[in-house]
Amino acid sequence: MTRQSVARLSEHIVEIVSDAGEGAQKAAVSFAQVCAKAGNGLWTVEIIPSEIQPPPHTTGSASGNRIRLAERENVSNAGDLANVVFAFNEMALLSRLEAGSVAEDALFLIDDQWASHDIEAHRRSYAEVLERVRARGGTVIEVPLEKETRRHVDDTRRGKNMFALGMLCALYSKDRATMKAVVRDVFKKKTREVVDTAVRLAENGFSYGLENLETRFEIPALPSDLQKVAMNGNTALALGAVAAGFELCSMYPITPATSASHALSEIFEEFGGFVHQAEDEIAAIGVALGASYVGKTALTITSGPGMALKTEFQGLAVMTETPLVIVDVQRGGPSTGLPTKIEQGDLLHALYGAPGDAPKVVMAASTIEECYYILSTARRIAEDFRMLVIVLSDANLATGQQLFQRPDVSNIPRRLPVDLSPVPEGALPYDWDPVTGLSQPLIPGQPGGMGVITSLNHDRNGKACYDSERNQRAHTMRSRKLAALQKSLRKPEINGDREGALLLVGWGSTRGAIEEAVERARSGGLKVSSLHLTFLSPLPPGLKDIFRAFERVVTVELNYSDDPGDPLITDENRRYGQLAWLLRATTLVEVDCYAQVPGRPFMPAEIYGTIREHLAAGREALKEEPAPEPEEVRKS
Amino acid sequence: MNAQLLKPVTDLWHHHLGILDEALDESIRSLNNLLRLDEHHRHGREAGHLKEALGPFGSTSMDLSSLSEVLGKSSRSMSGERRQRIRGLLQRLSGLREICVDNSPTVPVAQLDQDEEEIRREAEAHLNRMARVFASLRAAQLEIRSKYEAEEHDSFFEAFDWRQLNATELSLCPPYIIHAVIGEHQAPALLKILSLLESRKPVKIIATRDALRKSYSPNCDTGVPSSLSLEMLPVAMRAVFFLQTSSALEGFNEQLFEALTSPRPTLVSLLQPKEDENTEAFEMRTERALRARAFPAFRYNPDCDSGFVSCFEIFAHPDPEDLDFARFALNESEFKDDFSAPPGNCHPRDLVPVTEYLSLNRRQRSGKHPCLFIEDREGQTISTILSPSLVTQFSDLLHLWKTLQELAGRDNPHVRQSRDALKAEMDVQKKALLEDQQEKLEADQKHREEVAVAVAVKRIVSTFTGINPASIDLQSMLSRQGSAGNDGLEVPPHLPGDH
Amino acid sequence: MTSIIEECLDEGCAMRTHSLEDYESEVPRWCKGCGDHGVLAALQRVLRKNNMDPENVVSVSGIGCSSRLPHYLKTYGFHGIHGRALPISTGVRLARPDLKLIATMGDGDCFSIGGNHWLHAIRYNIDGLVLVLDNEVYALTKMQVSPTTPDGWKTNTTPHGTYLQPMNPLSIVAGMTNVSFIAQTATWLPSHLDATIEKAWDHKGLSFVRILQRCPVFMPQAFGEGGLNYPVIFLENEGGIPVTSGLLKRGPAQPHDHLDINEAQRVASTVDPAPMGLLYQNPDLPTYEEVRAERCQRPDHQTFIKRLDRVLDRYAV
Repeated sequence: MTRQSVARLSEHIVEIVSDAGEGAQKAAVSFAQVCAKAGNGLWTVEIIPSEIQPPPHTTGSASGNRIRLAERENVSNAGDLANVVFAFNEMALLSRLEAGSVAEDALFLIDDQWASHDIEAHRRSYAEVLERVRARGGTVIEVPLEKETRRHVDDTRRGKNMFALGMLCALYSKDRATMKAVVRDVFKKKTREVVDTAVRLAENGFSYGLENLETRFEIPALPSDLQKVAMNGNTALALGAVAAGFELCSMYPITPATSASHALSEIFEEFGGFVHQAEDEIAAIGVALGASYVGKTALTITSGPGMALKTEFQGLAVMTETPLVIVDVQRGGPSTGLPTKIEQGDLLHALYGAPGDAPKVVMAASTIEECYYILSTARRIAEDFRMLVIVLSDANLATGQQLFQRPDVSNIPRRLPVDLSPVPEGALPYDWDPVTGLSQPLIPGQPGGMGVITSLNHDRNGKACYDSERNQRAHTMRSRKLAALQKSLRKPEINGDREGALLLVGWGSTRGAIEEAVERARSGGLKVSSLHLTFLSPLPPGLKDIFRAFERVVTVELNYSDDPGDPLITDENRRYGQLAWLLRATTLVEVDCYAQVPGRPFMPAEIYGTIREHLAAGREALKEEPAPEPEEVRKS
Repeated sequence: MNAQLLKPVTDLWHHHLGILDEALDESIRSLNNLLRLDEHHRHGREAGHLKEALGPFGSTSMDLSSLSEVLGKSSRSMSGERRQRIRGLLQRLSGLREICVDNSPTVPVAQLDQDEEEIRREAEAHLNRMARVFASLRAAQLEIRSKYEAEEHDSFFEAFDWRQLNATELSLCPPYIIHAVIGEHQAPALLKILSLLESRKPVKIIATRDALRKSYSPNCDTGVPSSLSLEMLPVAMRAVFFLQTSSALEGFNEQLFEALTSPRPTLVSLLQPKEDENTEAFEMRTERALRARAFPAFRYNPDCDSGFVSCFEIFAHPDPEDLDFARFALNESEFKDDFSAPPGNCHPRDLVPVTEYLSLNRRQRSGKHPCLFIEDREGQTISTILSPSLVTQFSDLLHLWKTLQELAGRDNPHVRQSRDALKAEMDVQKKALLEDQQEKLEADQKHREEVAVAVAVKRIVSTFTGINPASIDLQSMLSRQGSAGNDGLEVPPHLPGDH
Repeated sequence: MTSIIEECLDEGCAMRTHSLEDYESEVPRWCKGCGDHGVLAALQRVLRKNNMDPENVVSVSGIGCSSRLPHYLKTYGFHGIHGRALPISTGVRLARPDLKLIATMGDGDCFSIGGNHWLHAIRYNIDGLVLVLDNEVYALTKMQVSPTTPDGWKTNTTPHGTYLQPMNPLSIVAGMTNVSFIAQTATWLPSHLDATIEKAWDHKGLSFVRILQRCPVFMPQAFGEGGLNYPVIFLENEGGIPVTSGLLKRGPAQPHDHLDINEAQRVASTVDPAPMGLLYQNPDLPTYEEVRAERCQRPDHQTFIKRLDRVLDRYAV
């Protein structure tokens, strides 16, 4: 083959999809590894069918990964539309078109076996889909994937993926030796024969690609000395739980949180801990609470429906001031909702889910790296403040993979034993500091500290009491701890200028996409900044001042809000995104929201679109009535 | 001590030291944990420590000095006095670990022929050294459980010596071992052993002998010798653990382990191979010695029960007819001088088999020669005469075996009496039962015959009269025949013609 | 290892002898004539008998009259939420097997709202005393029907009589996999109650004890007016709960093999007369905390760090 060209790119998004069970995920993970080893920055997102064995050759059966790879080291989100799709059949390809995640001029690689398949329906739909792709402006390369693979293995369902990997590596001009090493590593638990076959297939795919692809790409990596790791957010949570010194994680299976418990179960016993799978979500938090009560702060990991079941125990943890950490890996709700898909719909539930006034700490991870570190913070705050700490993650972080700097484990603090030293005569279980509400717990086993803690309202001595004065007092003390914690939070830093036309505010895993969109807008001269919140309860200080410096403040959230243009929706009855709701209530600033429930992460381009819309709306508003200073508007 | 014996003893020694070392290690770790906790209470809320504990997530979004201020100081640090005490204890424990980290291949073993005072001194020193280990472990546990009360415990541990050790601790204490070699004259060694055991110190005396010949003073009574017998020690000292066995016996290591971990003063009496004896030969000799009751293997463990019999266990009970001591001795080189040809003037009538000889009284023995009839190389029966010393030992051993059997509760007049009484009673019962069965059997037989006859009659009647056979009441026919007296026996179910 | 050191600590050296007062907290505020008083006293006696350091005992309860018990026992106590005493207890034992556990629940608490936890706690077999004080009625909420309310009885939610047959908790427990201890006693048989609690205390594993007790306020007629007219049969076996001559005045004795699960299931399924005593015991079952701790390693700090680094290696690129 002559006339080959290599296009140099700074980043690309490639999606690899097959029927469930055909191993597109493995090909994608291996490809990501090859790119990571080359030094490319990465973000991967799993494309998961919601059933275990969906009917093959349907859009519902599509399984695979989206990989965003870039020249730069730090890729903070899954990016916009895909540039390349490698599909094992046309229905898998179609599913990506339907998801709206592929660029119109994308390059499509597809197995050509369907063009001449025995089943007429397949032949027809293949032709139709290709037709549609081409009509959109896409380029199609038909690849003899099945035919080539069959030359090496009998069961092509277990082989095509490695051939595809080889082709992808050739397409992106990756190093053949690195690819072979990665394949060996990925299959290291298998027999020698399996490994050899996989390597051979990948090599064949690689050679085929070199010979037959007219256009190839190259995304050079920037050199870096940093040691890096790649993992998904749930694995990061699991390793982070170990690093944070937890010894017990009590859970009940729920998507998408469960894989964190899998990763933890795999290693925890080596570190002196274990995962207890309880009989239900309620027991899971109950066991964790029992362990925390006797001095070993425990962890429970769940998702939305589990959070709902845990609310009564959350109230108990708050009432008894027992330290406890709950991780909520959010998914689409309400009810069973979208179990495998992302949503940020549990914010207000985390804050206000328990009956009565139950102040608790809520914090959210925005990257996979933060998933690793967040539990150390959560645990220490839970213990020092004797509070329930809720850590919010989401399905995107849970299953996506990101490269980040390898954590330094050498400075992990030593795990402390349970303090069983005697306490002075007359020590009280709730010896509230009158200013901060803080106190130190009495732990079973400490001589002299015998006493009861109760779910009933109680006094400093732990004894139940029902009078109004002491009920008010106890509430005040529990609430005061949040204020004390808030005093030690930093004023958040603004991404961009401290003032301008528009401030986007976000929390959790949308951070990368928001900041990328803001950068794009700013490089186009737009006066946009963004603000990311790590603590949602208590909120950090200075928000009101920050907001006042911008003409418009808009939250960007993956949860539901009414669209003001919709029928019946008015200023009065519009329901806002959850962070917007919270910020409006706490700052009394007219915060708007871009809150959607697409069941996938935001693309920076979507946010960029929102930025433009809001700026346009702002200009519109200015045109209509040359308004007084924004501050005065709010004062009135 | 030979290598075969030294190995289990050394293993045990290192096993014990290992356990103590582990206990020291764990105590040190726990005490260090207490200090770390204290450190945490005193400094854990300073900004630097908070940064480490919170990790990058918290330390970038939080102002750590404000946090430190908000959290304030912990009120849970320990008193300076206690901190000081724990540090001192930690130092002591680390020092004691040196005692327990012992890589030497051999165990210190005292020899019985050393000066007795010296042995006592050394034993006392060894036990007290170990007592210091246990005392520190106890003190550490008290600290760990926050139960150390200086007022009460300082003086207690000040005065702590091996006498305060409890049974578990004594079992875990690497033993002070004294080796005694038992020769033909047992008395001198035995007296020294008794004296050492009497001190109450839980020393472990291992008495070994490779030969079984015992020599008696010439004027000793061959019938009832007055010599000291090592095996009778349990009767003399009820609180001493006693084991007599041989490395050739099954379960030897377990027996030895039990003896050496007893919290009591202990005497282990062992039969050992001779210098040039190979294992196989030694095993054979041990086996024969056991069969001949020349070396009874048994154990007395005073901790088993309060009653003597339950504490006393004989390992093997050979058939007395199988092999006797004289024939055993005949094969053993150590006894070769104890056999001689009959004197030339000896009349065959005066040659009495030794077993018979032993049953004679002193007057009857006069002029007789105890002998064994054996086959010579040509297969001729010849006689060999036993030395007086051998006869004495034979007699001595018979008495010993009988006594041991009685002590173990296997055989004594009371046992025999109740056994006989029980047997007689059982015999009577058995006889009555047999008779009863016989009677029933006969009655049954008779009844079957009658039924058979009746059925035949019924069939004939039915054939001749045409009456339905079912309407003939067999039962009443039989009872009319007056053949009562077979209660409980029913009509056999499958009588022909019933259909 | 630790156990060896513990054994070496003889009483004279480390332990203080405790008196009953050491386990007494405030004056109980249960109604006069309530059986809860008797259970509290029996627990205090068993604590003294075992000379337990009060700081090493944790008493957990749910919500209900009987769940007030931790308030009156001077040990560590956790008065939790309705139906959830057992998950908390499981957490306590998993984290701190050095603590002795007492879980106290009522019939509604354990058998109804906490039913799922009840079944699974038995299967886990954590080591602890699990007492259900069964008065056959919801009393704290003022007389609603409970799972064990006798057939046809009137309560505030069944003013014309109950609709369902009462549940037999014993046969449910006896039918659970991994059950290790089942006993039944009654507060009107104080010596039997004491002996049963002692037996349960000594058992390693989950000791499930159902204690029949009448609510003198809302259900005074229950249990034949508090045992006056209530047919019972005492299970008798060596190693079981002793049947004294005094008890025989209340009902006959019947030989029972408490080591035989089939026998236990048969006896558990009988309700009239109510079987009293030890129905089943399997002292050899491992406890859940033992099973989990056994597989758990205890690396020192350096090893911990080395291992974590090795885990990170798996994700290194």
